Amino acid sequence: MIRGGLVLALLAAPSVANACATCMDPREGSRTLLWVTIFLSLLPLGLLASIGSFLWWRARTSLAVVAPSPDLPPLEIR
Amino acid sequence: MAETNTIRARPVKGPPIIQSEVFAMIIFVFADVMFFAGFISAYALVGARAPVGWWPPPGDPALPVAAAGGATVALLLSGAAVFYAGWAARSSLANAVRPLGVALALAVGFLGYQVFEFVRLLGVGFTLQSSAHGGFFYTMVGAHGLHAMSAVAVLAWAMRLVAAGTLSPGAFGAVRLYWYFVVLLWPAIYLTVYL
Repeated sequence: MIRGGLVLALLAAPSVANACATCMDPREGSRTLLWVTIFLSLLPLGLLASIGSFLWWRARTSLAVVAPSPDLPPLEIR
Repeated sequence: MAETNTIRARPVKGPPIIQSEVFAMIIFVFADVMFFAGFISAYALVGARAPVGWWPPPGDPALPVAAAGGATVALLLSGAAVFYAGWAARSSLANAVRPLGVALALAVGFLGYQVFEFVRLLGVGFTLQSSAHGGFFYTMVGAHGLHAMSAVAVLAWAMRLVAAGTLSPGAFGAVRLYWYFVVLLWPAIYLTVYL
């Protein structure tokens, strides 16, 4: 009963439930929130791309070593 | 009937693309970069929300920009010394001992300055709870200081093993990567908090 009343009260006054400390930027024209959102969104992607590129480069530059082996069936060349 | 030539060949497992220790450190550094990116972003947002001229709060003491700049230079030089140690170790591990010692001395100097600055600022009433600026300052600089402290311990451990000639290349690579992270993170914190 009390819980239901609380939900109804919040529906009647939604601004009370606005708990986001950064959703309202009082300085008109400030784009800090936008830039921070872009920064935090792109940073992990940039890091992953950097690590992936580095590993790809390391794999490309590592030499493939070929040595004789008696285990495999012989490759026939005619 | 045609003559047959046979070739028996199999690719042999070559050196790994990257040492396990270095890869583990890359993952750790990745997580830590996001940790500090969150702090820097929060600092920028809180600063942007403050009225013009109120960030940092007027009551807070001025941060020692020049002295901290000197500490920044010392930390960057220690990073260069560790880089040189890695380069010198290519010919012989013993060649890395001296540059690692220089890096360690510079790093201890940086940490000593941090402790001195914390004590001085706490003495003038600038605390973790005195303002949001104080909270950010001690959290960000303190978190970096803890990283630097652990990195100094790891660097000292690495130096001891390098001197004994028993440090593996993978472990040495991981230690250097961690130190580069600590060194390169500091200018970002310095630019955010001090300037």
